[in-house]
Amino acid sequence: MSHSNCHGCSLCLLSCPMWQQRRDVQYSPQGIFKALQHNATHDEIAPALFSCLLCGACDVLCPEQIDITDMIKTLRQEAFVKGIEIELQKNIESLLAQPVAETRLEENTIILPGKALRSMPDTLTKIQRLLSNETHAVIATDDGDDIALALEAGIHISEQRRHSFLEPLQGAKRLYISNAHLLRALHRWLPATELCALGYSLSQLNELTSKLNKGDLYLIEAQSFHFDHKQKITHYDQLRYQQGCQTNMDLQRNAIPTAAGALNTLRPALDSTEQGNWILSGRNVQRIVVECAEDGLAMSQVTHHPVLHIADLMGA
Amino acid sequence: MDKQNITYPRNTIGEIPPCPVAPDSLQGIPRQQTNPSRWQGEQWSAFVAALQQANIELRVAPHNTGTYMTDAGGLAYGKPHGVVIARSAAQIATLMQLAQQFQVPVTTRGGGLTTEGESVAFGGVLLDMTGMSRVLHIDKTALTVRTEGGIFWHLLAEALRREGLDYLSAPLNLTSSVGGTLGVGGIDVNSSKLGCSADQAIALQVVTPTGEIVECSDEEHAELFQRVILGYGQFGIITEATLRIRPYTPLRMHYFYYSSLRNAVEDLIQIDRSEACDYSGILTMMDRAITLLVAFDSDEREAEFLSHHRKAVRGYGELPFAIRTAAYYAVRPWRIKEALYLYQRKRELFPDLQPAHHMQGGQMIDRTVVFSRAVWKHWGGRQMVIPDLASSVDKFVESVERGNAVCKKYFPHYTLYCVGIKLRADHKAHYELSCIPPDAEEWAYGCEFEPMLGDNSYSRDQLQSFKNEIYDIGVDLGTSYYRFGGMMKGYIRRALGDEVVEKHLAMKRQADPAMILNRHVIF
Ligand code: SF4
Ligand code: SF4
Repeated sequence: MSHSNCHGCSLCLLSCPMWQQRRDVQYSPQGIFKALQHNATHDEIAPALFSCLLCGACDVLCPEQIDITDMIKTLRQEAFVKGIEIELQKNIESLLAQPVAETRLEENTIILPGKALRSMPDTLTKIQRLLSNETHAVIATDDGDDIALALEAGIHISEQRRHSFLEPLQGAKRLYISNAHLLRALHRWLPATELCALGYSLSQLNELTSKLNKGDLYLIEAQSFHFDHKQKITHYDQLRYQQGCQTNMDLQRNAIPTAAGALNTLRPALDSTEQGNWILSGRNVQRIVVECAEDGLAMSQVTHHPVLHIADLMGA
Repeated sequence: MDKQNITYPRNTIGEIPPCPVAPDSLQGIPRQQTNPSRWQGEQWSAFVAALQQANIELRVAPHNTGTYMTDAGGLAYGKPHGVVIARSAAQIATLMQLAQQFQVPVTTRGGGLTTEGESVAFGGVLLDMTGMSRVLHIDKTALTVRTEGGIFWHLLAEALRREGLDYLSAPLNLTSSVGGTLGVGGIDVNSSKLGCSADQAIALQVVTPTGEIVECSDEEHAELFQRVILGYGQFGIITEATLRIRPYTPLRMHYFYYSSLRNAVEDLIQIDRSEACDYSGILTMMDRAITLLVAFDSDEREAEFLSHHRKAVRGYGELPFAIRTAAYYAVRPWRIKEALYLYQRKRELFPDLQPAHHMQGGQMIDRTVVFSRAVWKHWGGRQMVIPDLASSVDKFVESVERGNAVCKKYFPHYTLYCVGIKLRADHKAHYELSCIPPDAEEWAYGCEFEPMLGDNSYSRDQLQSFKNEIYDIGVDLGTSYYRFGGMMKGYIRRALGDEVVEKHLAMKRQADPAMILNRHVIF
């Protein structure tokens, strides 16, 4: 499927945060693909390309089954090659070039929590306890934040950096990964390892979800949800019916993302306050529970209600 | 800008060409309706300079104008000279004042879900109304919502559902815009009870073709309100609308299956008359598997239907119908291909009409989404050929049967979609020269005839000939058409008569001296 398959039905606009904030079709998959059908240059579509949160909601909606997020990533790569967004490219490449320790971890279960969760040591300890069953779960020293950002932006990752990131993980049987872009890439890079989305895995623990109730707004992490929508939709639907909690799903059963992704934080294109307000609009909420720490930080900027990570429901 | 200083040059581009359907083009003679000729861009540079001075952004790059090249129909192609994204009533008012002054055509577009090129600009300015698509105010007590006109029905539903509310009726395809729908009708599976979407509007903010911003309703500027509702974009641009809304309820669905089109249509009419259900409609796979859908807003309504009205419905349940259909094809082995098609289509379509994550406790909780996505997935595509007939109750069975015969003649696979529309006696004036047939009393009925084009390639002539034959039925029976305008506008005069068309044309000339607003849609 390529951009020429887009027939302009506009369904992708319905859950697209980029379009919702701009109300301008240029800022949507439809706008990007229609423009390409009329020979737009990368320069002309760059503002939209780099505003996209890569949340994946459009992938779920497109009746032509165009792999929209993959195409956007490819178009970003091509844009960099053409010298567009050079500053952004340099910034990310310098992050990738920073030296990292390369010690192989011997444990079977490794957690890659991401930057925001690393700054929440108590929560991280709870996660470790929750995910340590037969084996002790350890936290990766290098959890590939820079790689996740590069994947999202469409920046080339050198073989050397990829190797230094993967080497410590080679011995693991199971990885829990917080970042959805990293998770997807690891499916290709470590096909024999059991790879689990961290937030989704926590949402499957009854000892946590049984604490959710009617006044809670449960924030599903959008990217990993949409990447595996068919499988996860049933789980989250059951969760909200069983516990009576609300979720950030829209009518299309897509998860409304915060704008807390790494790329939007580095190079803000969408307003995270507007996004947070839209998630909360019209809802009667007492508490917000997130499965992604970055989402928690974003939501605490727009509400006075308590915002807590799902792992913090342990013992609550 | 100062409106007093605008002079309107004598109209030249507003000249109405002769009706493109010649009087001698009788039934069954293939003919092609073509795009209107492109506006040649006289005074365009001066207009662009004036827009610039007024700080109105105009996009002229080929990829900007090309984005709007066709509509959902995919048969009409045209390019505007430039695109303006709607941002406010004041911006549109200035645009219209300048467009009148320089005689530049302006074509409005919401979701672009027309099928006869009504939202395609053949030169001039394309005004993309989706730039004005926010909900402005929800009044939970009065049960009304004020919204910008370019909003998709889906986004309106999204905002209302957060408050436990819902719109009354909307087109099944939820990327239609509110403003566009109020201009053409809007039919839902509950229209037989609640009327068409256009009848939900209580008040509108309209920018007139000459650039005034006017608030109108049945009480205030009532004549403008009458013209703009079901006015096909001829008399103003809807920038805001106040609509009636209602508390949200999930749906209790029932399907009855028929092999006789006539029985199904008669039952639909009978059910609507008895007011025994809250939603009703017919969806067919050719004329072999006809599904009558009925649904209810409450358990009480459902129970009452099942105990008092179910017996009169001649349709079968799913299993008995499957057995009968299997028996029918067992003795007609030469029609095995058709049987396989029906089976395959059912397997693909039915799960999408009741997906688990949009159902709860056997009830459909998101009809807005389910129907819309099913429409695109199973009926959408690069081209959508959906001619239709809108008739009074008395003419409906004949309209459907004759239309069905035409479908059969042209295509191996097709779908009919039929629904009733409850009419409002106090809205007679709104209905003049519209999809509501002049002879309809209490209910009107619409039937869409949609071939399943699949991967087959059909020539444009063939598709057009098919449409013409359906439209000919309308001329013959004196019906109206739901999709009413664009490349089929020649039929309006033929079906509804010169008198009413001339009357509205005179009003249009008065309201839009340069004849620039949506100029190829009706006249
Ligand atoms: S990935 Fe998300 S933000 Fe990007 S185009 Fe798709 S829906 Fe919009
Ligand atoms: S949903 Fe797919 S086909 Fe439809 S407009 Fe978007 S990208 Fe194009």
